[in-house]
Amino acid sequence: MNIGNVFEIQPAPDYTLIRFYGFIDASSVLQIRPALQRQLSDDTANLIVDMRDVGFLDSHGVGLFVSLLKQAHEKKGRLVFAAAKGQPASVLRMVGFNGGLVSYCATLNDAYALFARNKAV
Amino acid sequence: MPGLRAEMKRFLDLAGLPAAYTDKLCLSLSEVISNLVRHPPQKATRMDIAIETGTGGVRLDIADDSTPFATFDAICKTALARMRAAESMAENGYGIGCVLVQHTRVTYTPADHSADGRNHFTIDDRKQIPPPKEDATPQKNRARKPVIFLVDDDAGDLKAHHRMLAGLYDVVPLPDAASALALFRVQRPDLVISDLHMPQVDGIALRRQISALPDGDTVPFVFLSASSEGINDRGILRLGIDDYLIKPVSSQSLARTAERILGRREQLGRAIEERFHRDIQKYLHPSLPTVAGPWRITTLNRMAEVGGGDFTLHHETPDGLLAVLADVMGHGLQAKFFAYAYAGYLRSLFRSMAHEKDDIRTSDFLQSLSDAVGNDDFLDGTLLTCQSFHLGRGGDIRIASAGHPPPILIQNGHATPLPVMGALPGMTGHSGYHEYRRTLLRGDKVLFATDGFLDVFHQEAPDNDSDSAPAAPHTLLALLAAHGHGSGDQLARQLWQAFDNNRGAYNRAADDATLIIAAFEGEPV
Repeated sequence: MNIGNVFEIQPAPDYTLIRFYGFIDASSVLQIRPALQRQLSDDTANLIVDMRDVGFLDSHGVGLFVSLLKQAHEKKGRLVFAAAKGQPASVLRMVGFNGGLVSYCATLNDAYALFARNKAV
Repeated sequence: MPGLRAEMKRFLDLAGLPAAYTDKLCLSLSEVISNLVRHPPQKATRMDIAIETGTGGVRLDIADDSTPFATFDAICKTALARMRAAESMAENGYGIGCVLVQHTRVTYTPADHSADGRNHFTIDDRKQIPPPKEDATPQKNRARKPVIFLVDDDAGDLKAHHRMLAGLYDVVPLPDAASALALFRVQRPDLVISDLHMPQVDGIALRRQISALPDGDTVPFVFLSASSEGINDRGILRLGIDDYLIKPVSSQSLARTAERILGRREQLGRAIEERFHRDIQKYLHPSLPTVAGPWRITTLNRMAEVGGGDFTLHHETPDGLLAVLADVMGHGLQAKFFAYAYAGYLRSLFRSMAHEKDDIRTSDFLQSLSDAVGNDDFLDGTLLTCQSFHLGRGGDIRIASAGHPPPILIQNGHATPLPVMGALPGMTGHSGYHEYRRTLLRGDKVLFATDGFLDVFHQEAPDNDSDSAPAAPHTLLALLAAHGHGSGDQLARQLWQAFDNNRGAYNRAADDATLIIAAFEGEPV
């Protein structure tokens, strides 16, 4: 598995964008976890998870997102899901990623705007 | 795994099942297989997947050769407890929970209890989902035929009786009682018709052994006998049989007997279920006072035909109204039963706390509930989200949440989710519940709702085009901002109209939905 085809990270001053591709399931998460840990900076607080290209999410992916949520909360940051739709969006809601824990944005631009707005405030 | 999911999706699409349901089955398939190839000491080396579609839905059976799960019930319980536990920050253990909450019936038959010596993980949603809209096949022709086990050691009789019933029912001919018993453990028939006199295990012993199996005594049973001699013996009558027929039996007589017994059974089952629903819904129906001092409250609710379980409780305090909105998760009659039990428990807890103290903190109430759930196996057997809120006479609101969706404040044309969150009741390791406080101004409103209502605004676009952008929560926020200037009652009814317009046929009966709008019409103190 070429991990570059599964996710990519783009750090920005106010957040880190993680874009996932394809299936986030038992087999891909095995590869993603260590690679993500290596590439994600320890001081990352705000995370935007770009779900545009995610076609399937299972419980292993949920576990991965919980670890990202923990990291964000530990650094007093927030986790934002952008452009989640279809099956992955349904799974996130089913396991309780509600608005009290994370933020949902319909588009990536909405997610960027969220941090820009907060910064302005 | 992706290939298998794609194949399954292709098959289900061909069967014309709704896309959302297909997604659920693909997720469940993925979760079950992941478990079977990862967790047992001896991993599965071979799996056979059988899918049976019918008017009511799908039966998915996964047979495998791994070491059987010895404590599947306990696994289910733990899995359910973690299921909506993103708040508990667990990084694994959601898999089986995902399967359990998505389907009406999930069973696991370990190898030593199955007819073919393999484990069977079975999901059976038949009767749960609506038939596809486009399918013009007459409903009558597509309905699942009742299954009849026909047991007779006389090959000639077996063949003849099979032929008599085959056009009307799904008949399984079985040459002896042992075969019937083995099959009964993996497939539950709607009726058993058995010869009375058979070598080795006769019809009487078969009836006794079936009755000893879980729910076995609820399956109707008819004896066939070559003579009426002994058929009226008290011992036989006490076995609980539904009829007996003397051979030779005519085609008309056999068919009429089967029709009468199956019809009566269905009628009784339906009547019991309807009565149960009616009684429970009457008790649970969410309702709050429409006026509480300066507050105007509108409560709207839709009770699901199957599943769900929303309810409210309230208590007047010296300075306002204390209320609880709860949502018991799950599907089917079991969820209603748990909602009923939970409502009774919460009512007692509520009353006893109110009796002890006038000024109950919303967070204290949730903490007491959480402590009780954590220490009680029965309450711990299902999941509940709960929100406790106090509407003060001076416009002050106090809110605490246990895994419940956050309330939304509607103020000056803006709608904002309030930062109220907390762990599900019964979760260990969380740091306790916090009470959120705020003072509202005249005209401000707060929306409280359960998942059954909010989920509709999370659904995909109404045209069901899975590639289009979903209707995100901001759809609801936009509606609230647009209509938030009128009265609370008007706003609630406009939202309910949108809810009705958005929910599709699939969602119609899946979960209870409750919406509460509390509007402050007094002067803040």
